[in-house]
Amino acid sequence: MKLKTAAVIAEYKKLSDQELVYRYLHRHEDIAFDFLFERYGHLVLGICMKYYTAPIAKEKAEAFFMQLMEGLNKFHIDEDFKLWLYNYINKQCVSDTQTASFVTKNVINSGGTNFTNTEVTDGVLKLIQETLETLNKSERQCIEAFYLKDMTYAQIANEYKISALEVREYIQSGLQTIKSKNEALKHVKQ
Amino acid sequence: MKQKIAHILDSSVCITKRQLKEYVAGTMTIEECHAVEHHVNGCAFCSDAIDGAFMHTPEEMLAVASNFNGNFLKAHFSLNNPDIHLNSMGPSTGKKSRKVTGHLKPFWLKTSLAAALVIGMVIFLFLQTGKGAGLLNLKRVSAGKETPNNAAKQVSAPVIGSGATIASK
Repeated sequence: MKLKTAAVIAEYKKLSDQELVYRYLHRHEDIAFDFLFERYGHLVLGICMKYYTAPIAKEKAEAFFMQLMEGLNKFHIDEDFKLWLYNYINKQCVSDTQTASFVTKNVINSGGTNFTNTEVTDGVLKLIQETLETLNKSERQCIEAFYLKDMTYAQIANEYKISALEVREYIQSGLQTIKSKNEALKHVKQ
Repeated sequence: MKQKIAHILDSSVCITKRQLKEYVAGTMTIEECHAVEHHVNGCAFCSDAIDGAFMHTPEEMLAVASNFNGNFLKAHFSLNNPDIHLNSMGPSTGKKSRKVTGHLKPFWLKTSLAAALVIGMVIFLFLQTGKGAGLLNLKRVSAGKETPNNAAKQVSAPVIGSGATIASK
């Protein structure tokens, strides 16, 4: 096992998730798994905190990471690791807590998540503007306040007298609509 | 305005542990808070993690997040690879012992070889000097009971003798 010197840390920080997984699985570099934990450990803990009380969430998050050492064998190197891990942890939590209703909600959420940058052409810009007009009032107001006025959730919540959670939901649902229309446009072009 | 709209579909790297803690604790600057929320808008992973963090009191969340570190992984990996304990006095089972390639000769063998060489050189030099040469001659005389002149005569005698025999014939 390599020691964490400054040079080693700098080298591993540059690596992609897929490269870290590859190094852990095929080169048996335990330090690569450490770096995956550093990147996503707190997020896994956060998801566990949705399902469990705080002390149990910590234990569960640790247990899921231990299981992940074996579970990584199911990961295909050409997949998006972040999306794969997100689904993996949710499945673990769901199967652990046996709440079937949660599965549907999260599959929908993760299915619509776009983790890649989209090339913004004039056509895409026009599409975004047109789609903004079609959104409902709350969604449009929140998206405009967030992206055009650079306001935070809390500021928007104060402005429109709604909760910060509602602000986020309006923005995310509006973005989902924009992204799905953008995807549809891509398919038409292809 | 167009420039700002263009950033709607941007995505960035996931939030760090520090950002998660500061966001939940409410100690973040407005600019960084906006940057975090910009990412959260398009990332279900971070969005769910923040949801989970907000389901507890900030104190509770911060306490758990601070205690959640990679020590359990270190413990696990060190169990699997005991040889990483550099200060351990126990025998290492994780790493194979280094194979000795080639034949190592013992120290005394080299020393005795060097001593023999030196002694040989001393004897050679001794024999080259006058005393040594004289000693060598004495030894020859004592072995054959003849002087060096007699020995020379003996060597030349058969030649003369052979010549005489030819002449007599």
